Amino acid sequence: MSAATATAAGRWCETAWNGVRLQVPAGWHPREVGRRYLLLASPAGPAMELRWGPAARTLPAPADYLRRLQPRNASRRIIRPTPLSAAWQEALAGFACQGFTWSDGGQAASGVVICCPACRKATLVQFFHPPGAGAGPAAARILTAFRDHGATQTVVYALFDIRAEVPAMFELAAQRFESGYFELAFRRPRQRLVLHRWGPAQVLLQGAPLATLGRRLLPGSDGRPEDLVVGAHRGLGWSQGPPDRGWQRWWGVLHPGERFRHYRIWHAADRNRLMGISLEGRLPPPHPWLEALCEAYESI
Amino acid sequence: MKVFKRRAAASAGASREASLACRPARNPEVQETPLDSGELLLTYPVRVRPWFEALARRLGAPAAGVQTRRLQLDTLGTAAWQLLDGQRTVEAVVQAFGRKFQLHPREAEVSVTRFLKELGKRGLIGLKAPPGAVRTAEGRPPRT
Repeated sequence: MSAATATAAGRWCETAWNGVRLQVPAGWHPREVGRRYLLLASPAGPAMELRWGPAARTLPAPADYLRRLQPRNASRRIIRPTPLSAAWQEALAGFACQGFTWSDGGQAASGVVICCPACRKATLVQFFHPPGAGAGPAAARILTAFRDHGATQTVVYALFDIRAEVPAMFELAAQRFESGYFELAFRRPRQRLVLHRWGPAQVLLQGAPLATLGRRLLPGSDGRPEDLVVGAHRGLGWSQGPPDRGWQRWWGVLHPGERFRHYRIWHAADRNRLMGISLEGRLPPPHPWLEALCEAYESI
Repeated sequence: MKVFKRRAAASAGASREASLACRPARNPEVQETPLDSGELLLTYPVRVRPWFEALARRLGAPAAGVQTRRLQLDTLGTAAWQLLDGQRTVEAVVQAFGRKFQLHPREAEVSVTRFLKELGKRGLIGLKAPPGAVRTAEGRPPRT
């Protein structure tokens, strides 16, 4: 199912990653994920590729970006600048854009370089299709929903079956997508945030209490947990910090390794998942955004 | 980063569609023993390598052409094993497994295909290829 045939399938889903958001056909899943890179594949093979990054100083024209992509070896694939179709122009109104196509043996692609004057980000989007065929109407719909910056102070991450709204002060540091376990790690000065997702919960729990499993899944979550309600789900939380009384407080000041740790885990029974958050660092509470982060972090 | 750590397709491997259309069938020599936990213990014969058997004979050990090995499946493995009826295709097994545990389709596919590969290595299952299956290379988009 390429972009040419995707609209027939009907369902669309949100895909958002590190500042970029778009709607894609529900049958397209990420095949490769990088910090500023996504390769989405349909059941028939690779369907769409995105890569993006901030402009260094002044935002160059999209045609300049395209010129940089041209291979120096003339025998290799040549990227041809093309004018945007009316549908793509309408979809990308407000952006500076340059369309392109390339064809190489049995593969071809149509794409566009998008430069956003508001957030000064350059994005390359390309749709793969057989040589001679176009990108199809789905591509225009995907580009219509394309956003490279948001209006709020949070960054949306929606990939596979997880969705989170992470405060913009955190920068994506690493990601892991393995069968049964997803992990998104973020950082900011003196603080580290990790979002976890485990599944299937019925197999992991198998009658064991959530507290026992939580201590095993979240190393460092010692002590007695407190009961929490996250959205409609029951969960547990652990909070630890350096001692704040007497000589132990001064001991903590003299030893910068002392950290504040917050762990939360909850059972999304309707989705058969366990969701978790770890927050570690030297910044003391309160963290007013933590509640909103937990509420918005879900399995979809 | 490759999600689910899947390797790039080999240059002469079966295509994804052809692999998903295969019908996995259990080896009839495998014996299943249900455990109290609901999991399964599989017992299967393994033929000893001829050079090892010859060496054992020279050292005076009794001839043992066939050895018995055991494999205990966990809850997920048991569920996947029970779906292998010789009629379902790999794709149907993936879908049924994903539905049972509410897994994301891609997550279910990677879990089941990895499990089937492991069973195949041990000789516990065989794969019936669909009629007219063609071995092709799976393409990957060139870098831009």
